[in-house]
Amino acid sequence: MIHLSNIEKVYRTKTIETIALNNINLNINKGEFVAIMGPSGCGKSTLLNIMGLLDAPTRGSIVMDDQQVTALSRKKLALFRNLKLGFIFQSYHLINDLSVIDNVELPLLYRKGISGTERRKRALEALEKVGLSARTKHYPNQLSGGQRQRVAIARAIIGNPEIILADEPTGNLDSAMGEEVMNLMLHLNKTDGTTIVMVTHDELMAKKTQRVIHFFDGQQVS
Amino acid sequence: MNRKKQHFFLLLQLFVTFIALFLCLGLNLKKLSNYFQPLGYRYEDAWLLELDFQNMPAEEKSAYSQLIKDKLQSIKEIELVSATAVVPFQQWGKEEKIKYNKQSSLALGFEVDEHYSGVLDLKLVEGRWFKPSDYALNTIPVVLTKDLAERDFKQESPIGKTILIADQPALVVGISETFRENTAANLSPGFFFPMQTPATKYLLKSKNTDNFQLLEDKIRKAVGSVGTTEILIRQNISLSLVQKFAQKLDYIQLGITLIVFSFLLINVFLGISGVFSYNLSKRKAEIGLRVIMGASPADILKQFLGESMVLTTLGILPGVLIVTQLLIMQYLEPYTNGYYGAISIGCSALFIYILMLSCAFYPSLKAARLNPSDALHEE
Repeated sequence: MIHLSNIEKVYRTKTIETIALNNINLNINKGEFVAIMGPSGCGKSTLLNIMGLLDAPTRGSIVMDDQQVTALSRKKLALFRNLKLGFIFQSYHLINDLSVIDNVELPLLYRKGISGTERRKRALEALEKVGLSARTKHYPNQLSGGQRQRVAIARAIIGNPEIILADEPTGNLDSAMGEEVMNLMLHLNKTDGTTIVMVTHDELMAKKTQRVIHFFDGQQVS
Repeated sequence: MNRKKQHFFLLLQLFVTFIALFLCLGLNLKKLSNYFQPLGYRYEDAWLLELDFQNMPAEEKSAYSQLIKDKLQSIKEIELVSATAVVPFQQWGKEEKIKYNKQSSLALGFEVDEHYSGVLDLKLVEGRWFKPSDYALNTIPVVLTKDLAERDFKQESPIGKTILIADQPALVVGISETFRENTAANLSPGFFFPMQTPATKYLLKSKNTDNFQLLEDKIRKAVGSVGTTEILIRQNISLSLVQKFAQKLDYIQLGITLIVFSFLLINVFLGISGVFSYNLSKRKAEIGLRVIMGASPADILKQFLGESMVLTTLGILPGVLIVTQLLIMQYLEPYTNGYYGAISIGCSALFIYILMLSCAFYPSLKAARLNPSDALHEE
């Protein structure tokens, strides 16, 4: 599903060169739930950004869903992200001026051929899946952290992506809420067969996934 | 919505810009259209001589005034002399109450002499101009302008009718073409009546102006030959072409309009660009998120340009409603009317839409080029 070969990411300023990722080779299979762990600054989020096509590697190639995506134009990358990827972030990244249902609909706004009625129907279904169908008209600042993350999950799954990339999705939640969100992702992985790559610091959460990859100083260590 | 508060200053600026533009256009469009209307007379061959009789008693002033007129008339380069209190582009008529068939109205009274129409080539559409023999009558001979005749007499011919001017009986002897103060002015429904006060101004018709200095010397000599040192020629240059007044006025109006318009344009452009850029900079995380969710650079550009159009509509809508109401209630007459008002609303709105698009384009383009992961973390 995701094949990373010889990935290297170097950040350069006039005086300093920082190697964020060094020769990463990684294969993630379809339907797999993988956790990426490692200390802060080890390159986990950089890797997730590269997998999410938000950042280009300095060197190496990325094949996703049998498609070489390294050299795609910004427009094609946007389309690929929209069709194939779902994102969940530690700090939810909901738009405060939009209602819950409008936030969930967001990815479908950029997908051609979907009517407003269809968008609304699918947003309601996604909110149903995360147990928030009663909160459609609320605004993000009227919700708890756990509820916000569930809205973010609904937004990530509305487009039926094949891959979900989650950057510390439970990092801002208490253990009970974190558990709830984790169970939701496990459920998605099990029932829909969605491939999930999750960056986390929480070993308990990581243990619930099928594979844990450890990073240290920009390199994969296990 | 929170964003409404964020956009408040932008909306306010758009509203004020619309009103300012509307006034700038509305008030000038009518004037501009007036430029293409006939003036009703020719001022190109008319010269103005203005005298100062200082503290001379009225009776003496009257005698000298007539004497100077005769002297001027004897100069061979001068075709015709008119003693007058009304000079286009410089001094206009006075409002008087007129009454006909128990109906009262206001009109401008133009105090001129029997040669006035000849000096300015003011055409008569009916009847005749008054002549010295009319002055002996008990009624004041008057010539109405065409627009006054149409306004107050409708289909009826006013020639031979007696009207009351400030309660004095006046006999209508003729109807002239419409008469406007200057090229930018609106029509001035009014009437011409003979001089009641001693003239201090003379309009001279002379096509032979090649040797200006010679003509000026002759005029100075004519004024000096009446036998008193009390009369002064008021201008630095003893004679001023009426045309000079006309040109001066046009340039001043054009200059003021251009300065106001340019100042407005620069300020508004900088203001709106600044506010729009600031508002977008506050939404970097949202832009990053939208890109991550699949928005292409073109989608982002379209979204913010679209938003700018919605904001423009919201900003100018109250202005459109207010000025439409003012136009319907005719509060802006005579500066503008419904027709030019509607054109001004359309042009001002169109101009602001174009201005807003140009102000929004660069910040929106910058937003469309943002790196999504960097933008996402800029809260």
